[in-house]
Amino acid sequence: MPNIRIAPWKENKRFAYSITYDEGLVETLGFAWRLHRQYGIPGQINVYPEMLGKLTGDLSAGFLQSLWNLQKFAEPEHLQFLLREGWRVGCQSKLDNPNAPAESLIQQRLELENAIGHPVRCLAFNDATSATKWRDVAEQAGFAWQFTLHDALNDADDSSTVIKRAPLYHLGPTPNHLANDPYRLLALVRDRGAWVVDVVRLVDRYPQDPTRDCTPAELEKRFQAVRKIGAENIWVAPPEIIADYRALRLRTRFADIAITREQVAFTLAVSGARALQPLTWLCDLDPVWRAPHALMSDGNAIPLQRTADNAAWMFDCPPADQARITMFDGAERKP
Amino acid sequence: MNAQICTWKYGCKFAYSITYDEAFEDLLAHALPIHRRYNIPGHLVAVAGQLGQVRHVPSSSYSGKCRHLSGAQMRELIVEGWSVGDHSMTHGDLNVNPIAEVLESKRVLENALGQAVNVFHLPGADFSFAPAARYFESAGFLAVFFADDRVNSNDPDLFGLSRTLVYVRAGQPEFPLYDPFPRVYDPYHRLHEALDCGGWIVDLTHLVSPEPIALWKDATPEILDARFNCVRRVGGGWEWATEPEQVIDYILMRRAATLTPIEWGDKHSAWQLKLADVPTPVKSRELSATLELSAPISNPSIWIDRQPVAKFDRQDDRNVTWTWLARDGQRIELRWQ
Repeated sequence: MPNIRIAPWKENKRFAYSITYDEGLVETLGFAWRLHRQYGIPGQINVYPEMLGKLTGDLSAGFLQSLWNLQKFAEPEHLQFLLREGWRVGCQSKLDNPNAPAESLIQQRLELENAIGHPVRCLAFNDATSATKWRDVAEQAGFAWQFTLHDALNDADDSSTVIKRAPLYHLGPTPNHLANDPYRLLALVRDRGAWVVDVVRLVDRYPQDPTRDCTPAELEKRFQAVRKIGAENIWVAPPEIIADYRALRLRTRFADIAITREQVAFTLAVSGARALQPLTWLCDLDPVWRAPHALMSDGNAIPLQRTADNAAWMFDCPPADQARITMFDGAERKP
Repeated sequence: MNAQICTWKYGCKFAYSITYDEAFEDLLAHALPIHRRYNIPGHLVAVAGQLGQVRHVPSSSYSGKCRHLSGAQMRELIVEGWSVGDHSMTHGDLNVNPIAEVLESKRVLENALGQAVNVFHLPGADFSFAPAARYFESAGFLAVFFADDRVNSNDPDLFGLSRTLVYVRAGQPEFPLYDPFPRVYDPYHRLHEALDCGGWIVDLTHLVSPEPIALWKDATPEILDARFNCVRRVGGGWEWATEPEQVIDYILMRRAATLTPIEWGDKHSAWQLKLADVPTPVKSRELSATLELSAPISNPSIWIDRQPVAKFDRQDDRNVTWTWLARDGQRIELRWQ
């Protein structure tokens, strides 16, 4: 019987990598985005909607002193530029009204969406506990994903909406004195077929918070390590896209599987999710088939490709509830 | 044809060591079997004033809970290839009584072990280094270790060596003010980096136990096993996994050594080894060298002072690597047919 399944990660990559930037400081973007473009790694930035374009710091200090202690937050056009680069934008959590937290979060989401002209579906917390605590409220407010600061890997079969993020740091505090390791967690995530999500606050030559910031050189070494360890086996995308894929995969079921010598057909059952993006389907077919195709409900036929390890066939298509997919050998009959 | 002293012994690409601060007795049950399985000797970091005693350091997580190894127990481990470093007399601030903490502790340990103790590991936070620094070299130490999570280069400042932590650390942060998020231990920590830069990783942990006491600095047997497994897999035979005294000795020997070509013939070439001053406490006086051949030759053999070297560490068409007990003035000869 053919084994039909959905690949844990898109295009049957073995593991996944994302990186996020909290707070949306403009210095971060100045140093980071060119590296992202150079290494083909689209990121995700999480911003405070009410802080867009604002300056913080000691504004009463003299001009020269202010140059050292002022920080500027990204403008909406900065964020739109990043969206065009393939990034995603999320909202940095700030619960203004604890008595009506959902309303407060909805207001922030709408404010950000209006500013950048793009849906905002992620809410980032800058501690280890709040994402779990406020998950239901965040979902009520329209945030599909909640980011937490919890140094761990995300498993392919984890259905939680809380995404764990492993901080990139410059130098850890006492008593551990941890320092940045550009390869950190990358070989481990490869071995486990999991997903690692980095988080950085500020990328600057002079990191301010050594436990959350890193230097441009450290970031570049990290990206080099991602590409070296990942090679052809890593899926690199903003976390929103990977989280959507994972959730969609876990919500998709097969039904009415019919197998004959000439074809393999099955119906999809997709619960509670829109077809946001294509999934990668894997199947082991009769070895005598020479040119397998997948015929969709809309009459479109897709040729299947061999996986990189040559162990199975694969094709990409978005799952639609109740859609029927029929696989056949295109060498035997016309698609 | 080019002859050169190898960066690391046996022609390895990077070096790996692991150290156990406090040298607790639990290591015998929970760490030693794993060391034996992976053939990686360890290094004990002993508090000289409490050998064989239940720990009595009021500020320590382990005080009253763990027993230090005795001199006799440590001597048994030395026979297995382990080594011992000095962790001060009381595990206190070195500046309070540096003579006792740095000088006297060395003497006490050496008496207990019957051999020289050449490395010092700063106790507690590293702040006590600067004022006490003037004593280390005059006491005869060859190296001082910090705990600042870096890969050591292959030509490091031996009085400022780094160690990286192996730890359990799961769950919520112990010190949220300073370290706001939980951290997971990555068994590959710094291994690929060491392979890239040809450096030297020195791991640091404390208690190894199924029930660790201090999650940010202890390991479980499972974590230790995973770490050694990664060392061997990433190394792929190019890792020199040994105790740190061996590495320090090798660095000092390498720094002192020069190979000078002295003869070129149809069937042989020869070099002379010049060894400058090697510090007296250096225990292991072996060197490894690699001969890079300009063209493949048949049946190469190495002769040192006209005695053949029994075997090569590595050999391919263009390179031969071997290790020998080095002495100043030795004649090293390559013969072929």
